[in-house]
This record gives sequence, structure tokens and C-alpha cells, in this order.
Amino acid sequence: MRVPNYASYLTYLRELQRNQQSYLDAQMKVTTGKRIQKPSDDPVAASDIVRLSGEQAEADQFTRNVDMARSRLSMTDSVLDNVEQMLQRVQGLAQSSLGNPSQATAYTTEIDGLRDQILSAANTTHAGRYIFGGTVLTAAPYSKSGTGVVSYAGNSIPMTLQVNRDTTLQIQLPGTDVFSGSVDVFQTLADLTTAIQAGNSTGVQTQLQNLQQIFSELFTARTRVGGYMNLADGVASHLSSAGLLRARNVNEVQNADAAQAITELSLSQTNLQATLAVGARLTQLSLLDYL
Amino acid sequence: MSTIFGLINSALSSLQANQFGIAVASNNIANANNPDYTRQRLVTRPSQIFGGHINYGNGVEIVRVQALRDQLIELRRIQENSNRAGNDLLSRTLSDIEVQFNDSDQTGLLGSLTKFFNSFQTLATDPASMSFRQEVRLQAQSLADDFRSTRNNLLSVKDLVNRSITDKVTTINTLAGQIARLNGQIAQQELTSTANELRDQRAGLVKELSGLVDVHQIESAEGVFQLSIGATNRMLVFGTETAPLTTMMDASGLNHVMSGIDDLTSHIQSGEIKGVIEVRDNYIPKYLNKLDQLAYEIVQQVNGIHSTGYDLNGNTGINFFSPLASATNATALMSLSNAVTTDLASIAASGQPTGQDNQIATQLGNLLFKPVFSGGSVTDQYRNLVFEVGTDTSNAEVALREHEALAQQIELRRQATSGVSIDEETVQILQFQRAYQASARLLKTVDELTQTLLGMTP
Repeated sequence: MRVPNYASYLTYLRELQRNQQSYLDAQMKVTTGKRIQKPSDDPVAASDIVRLSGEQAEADQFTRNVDMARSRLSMTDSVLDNVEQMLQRVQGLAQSSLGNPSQATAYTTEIDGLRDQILSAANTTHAGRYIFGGTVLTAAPYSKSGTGVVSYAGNSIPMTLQVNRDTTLQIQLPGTDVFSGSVDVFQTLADLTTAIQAGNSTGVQTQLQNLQQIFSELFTARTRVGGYMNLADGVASHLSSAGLLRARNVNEVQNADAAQAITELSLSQTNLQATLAVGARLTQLSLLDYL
Repeated sequence: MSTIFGLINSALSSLQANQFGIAVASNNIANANNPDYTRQRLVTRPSQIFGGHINYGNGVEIVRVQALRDQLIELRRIQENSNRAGNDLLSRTLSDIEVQFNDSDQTGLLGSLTKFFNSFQTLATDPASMSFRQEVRLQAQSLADDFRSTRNNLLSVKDLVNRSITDKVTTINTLAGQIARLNGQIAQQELTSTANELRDQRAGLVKELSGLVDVHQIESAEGVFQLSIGATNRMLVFGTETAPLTTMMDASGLNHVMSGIDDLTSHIQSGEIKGVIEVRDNYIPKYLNKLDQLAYEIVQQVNGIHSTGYDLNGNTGINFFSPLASATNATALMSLSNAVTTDLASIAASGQPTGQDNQIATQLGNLLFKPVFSGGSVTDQYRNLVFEVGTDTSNAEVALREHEALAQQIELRRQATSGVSIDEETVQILQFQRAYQASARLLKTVDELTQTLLGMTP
């Protein structure tokens, strides 16, 4: 076959363009660290990246949610612990009062003080929201009237939060599960001080029994909170390990293998150099040089 | 019988022919780098005179200058060039479009989709929070903006290629006019001689034309050169006559390629115009439909859930987005409802009229991965679109590479026949030069013979 001059230029030009393109591609891989620059580089992988990035964004959100749940639950737990200690003090005072009717006022003053502290514990806020009002978040659940009667303005709907696709946690206990369930803490304490003041030992005994009931409810509440916290910890560690796995998948799908990318780069550089060298020789070979 | 003066004649014809040969070779060298040039050869034949009983040659006669052209390859060259150009435009335009869907560098819609649905999850952690409600509204607006800007970018590509049809048709008409003029000149010149250069010029113009639209060329036995275009072989050039194309804009603003009253748009099979029509009528509408569908389903699903919820004031039945009647132009029409635009408290996060529970916010957040959309979850549906755009673009690139390789192959085949090799021409020049030298020598010999004869006279 005849090889006219223009044909060799044409072939050379095409090879040069091709080698320049693959050099550029290899360069991009090394500098960006990515195997895929655009969907057409690998449509299947590009669609996988969309799925994985979507899942990652979703998991990041659930991680934020589970953090929030843990922090609210641990706040609840410490409030309940505090309340339990105060009630134990009340129990001690009530028992002592039975043998010291003359000190009744001292006992009742302290019990009234503890009652106010428990009231303020029941109105605890976390991140600006009341945590014992059920789903009523913006109004104090418990308030004391002029006559000292404490009433509940919240509801008994459990406040929940989704922390993973299929896991929803209760993040707040309504006051009806803690302070004003079958036995009302504030009423019990009010009745207790009345009984102590009146020297009514039977009445004090009755309220001590009510206190036992309250302890048992507190115990149940703390067990539930502990259970939710364990669940939250489990979800958090699951999210983080799933995140690592996903990061590895993204890495496999999207990222270029560094060693391979650099090898490709030097290979395409060698090819390009060879092509350029051929170009320099293309014009050197001519019959005219030999005539 | 040969005569001495007959010999002079023979030497003279040889000198002329060889000089002519050198001229042809040098012309080949001069045009060696013109891709449309066809190399030429001097065609000669021995001239003869009658010398009674014995015939003998009397030098050389120049017949013509022949262009070495393979008509079949010329036709395939036009055809492949047309395919290459159409695929080139398609591939380039799809690469431009693909940028809109590149989530590996965060330019796609995925970011705003996930942020929008996640903002509901954040709201679920504190349904009473005004700043989280603000965040939901911002992300919803930015999602709608991103849908709209993706749509507008696609539409502007569509508009750009649509408008380019007019320019391309003008170019076709200009080329057709030039070809028709050349046809006249070629016919006239070929009455008496050859028209190799004009034919090369014409081949170059036809090739340029083939880059725009599929052209079919026929040269009738009577030498009438005809060009027709498209599947229906609509006549464009007939000898010196042309039937110019026009464009007509339809009601939806799309340009149609017309010849007279006939619409050729759907008959065009290759060339840039075919690429334009493919992008404009198939690819872009396909992507737009999918985006509209996605936007519409998001509006429907979000409203469906949102309207069952209760806002901060205990109201229910509120739409989050302005309701849409259908998916048509959903990406353009997607907007927040009046209630949500004017009052953040109107975002319904709760499933119950009392309190501020987060049931609805959670359900809305779950739309990110719940397979309630026609193509799976919202991310599934979006990634199908990314996959489709990627596949279309990559297929167009593969097709372009194939057609480029084929066009290159044919170009090389054409060069093998018609291309100029400088070495070969140099050899030709040497050959003619030697023959010229020998003929000059012959003249000298004849001259000496004549001198001898003259010397014999008393």
C-alpha cells in the first residue's frame, strides 16, 4: 500500500491526540485521587456513588439524632437519680418525725423545700425543651398554685425519635410516668407534711407506703431510660461501623488505586514521549536527503 | 522513412512531455498537504506516423492530466464523515449535559435532596424549634431552586442546539450554491479539457456539507451532478440548480428543516443536524420528563404526609408545597405553599393536635429512603437518572470513537489512492529529468547529423 505524506501525518496526529488524552486522564486520576470524574466514566459506579452518598447523608443524620437522644436520655437519668435521692431524704425525715412530734415544723419545712426542688426537677429543660411534659415541649409541665397545689399541664404521649431506618427510641418520659402516675409525688408530699404537722402517725404511715409505690415507679422509669440508652449506644455503634464499611465501598467504587494510577501516569507519559519522538522523526526521513 | 527533421519533432515532443510531467509532479508536491487534493498523473501515448510500409513512432503525445480518484471511496468518505460529525455533536452536547448530574463532584441534585429530607429528621429532634423549621423551609427552597436550575440548564442547551439549526441550514444552502456553480464550471471546462482542481474543490465542499446532513451524490451518465439529502433523497443540487432548504419554527419554538412545503426533519439520518435533533427531541425531553416526574412525586408524597399532620397551632390539612395537577413542568412549578411561605409555624411536624410530637417530621424524613416513589426511593429514582445520563453519554462517546476510527480508515484508504507521496513525486521528477536530458541529447545528435549533411554540400 502506498503511504502518502498526508496519511502518515493523519495517523500521527490521531495517535498523538489519543496519547495526550490518556495522559490527561491519568493525570486527572492522580491529582484528584478519583477513578470516576463524571457519570459516563462508569455509569454503574456513578449510580452506586449516588446510592452510597445518599446512605451516608442519611446515616450522618441518624448519628446526629442518636447523639441528641443519648444526651436527652442521660439528662433524664440524672434528674431521676437526683429525685430519688431527695425522696429518700423525705422518707428518712418522715420516719424520724414519727418519734419527734415536737420537731414537726422543722421536718415539714425541709420536706416542703424538697418538694419545691422536685417540682423544679420535674420542670427540667434540655436544649430549651421541657423533658417531662410528654409532647408538650414549650410550656412548664408542673406548676404550683397559690394554695400550694401542683398540677400537670403536659400530656402522656411518649416523645419518640427515629435513630435508624427501623429503630425508634422513646427519648422522654411524660411526667405521668414519673411524678404523677398512679401516685402523685407532690400530693403525697403535701399529705405527708399535713400528717406530720397534725401528729397523725397513721397518716404518715399511709404516705410512707405511697412513697414506696413512688420508688417502685421511679425504678421502673430509670430501668426504661437505661434500656433506651443501651439501645441508643447500640445504634450509634452500628451506625459508625456501617459508616466505615460504606466508606470502604465508596473508596472501592470511586477512588483510584494510588499505585495503579501512578503506574498508568508514567506509562502514558512514556507513550506520549515516544509519540512525540516519532513526530520529530516524521519529517526527517525523506528521499531528498539522499539525492 | 524517417527523416532528420522528423527526429527533431520527436525530440521536441519528448522535451515537452517530460517538462509537463515535471510540472504535474511539482503541482502534486505543492498540494501534498491538502486533504481534499487528488494526486494527478500525466497520461501520454506514443504518437505515430505512417511511413509507407513500415510504421514507426514519432515521439510522444500528451493525452491528458488524470486525477487518481476512487469514486467508491469518495462516496464512503462522505457517508462516514456524516456519521462522525453527527456523533461528534451528540457526544459533545451530552458531555455538557452530564455535568448537571455529576454527584462525584457535588454538582448533582443528590446534595439538595438529602439535605431537604434530612432537615425533617433534624426537625424531629425538636419539633417546636423555629430555627429547625427555618432550616426545613430553606432546604425546600433550595431543592426547588436546584430542580429549576437543572431544568433551565437543560432548556438552555436545548435552545442553543435548536437555534443552531438555522445557521446550519444557511451553511447548507451556501455550500449547495457553491457546488452548483462549480458544477457549471466543471461541465464547461470538461467540454475541452479536464477539471481536476474544480472536482477536488467540489469534493471538499460536498465533504463539508456531509458534516451537516446526510448527502447522497450521483453523477449521471450525461455528467449531471446531483446531491440529495435525507432518507427520502430530497434533491438539493441538480447540476447548476439548487433547491435551498428553509427552517420553520413550530408552535413550541422548535425549528424544522423544510424543503419547499415538506418537513425533512425526521428524514435526516446523520450529520450535525441529526445530532442536534437527537439531543433536542430525544435526550433532553427524556431527562426533563424524569426530573419533572421526580419533582412531582416529591411534591405529592410530601403534601400527602404533611397534610395529615398538625402544625404548631394545632391546624391540619396544610400542604407543604403548592399542589400540582400533573408532572408536566413540575420542576418549573415546584414551590412552597402560601401557608409555609408566610408562617414557619404552619409546617406540620406533629401527628396529634396536642403537644409537639414529631411523627410527621419523621415520616417526611423517611421519604429519603422509603420505596414509595414509582422508581423505588427518591435516591433510587435519582440515581436511575444519573445512570441513564452516564450511559447515554458513554454510549455516544463509544459510537463517536468507532465512527472516528472508521472515518480515519477511509481517509487512509483514500490517501492510499489519491494522496501525494513526496518521495514518489521526487522519483517521478528524477525520471522525467533524465528523459528530458536524454531528449536534449538527441536534439544535439540530430544537430550534429544536420551539420554533417551540411558539410557534404559543395
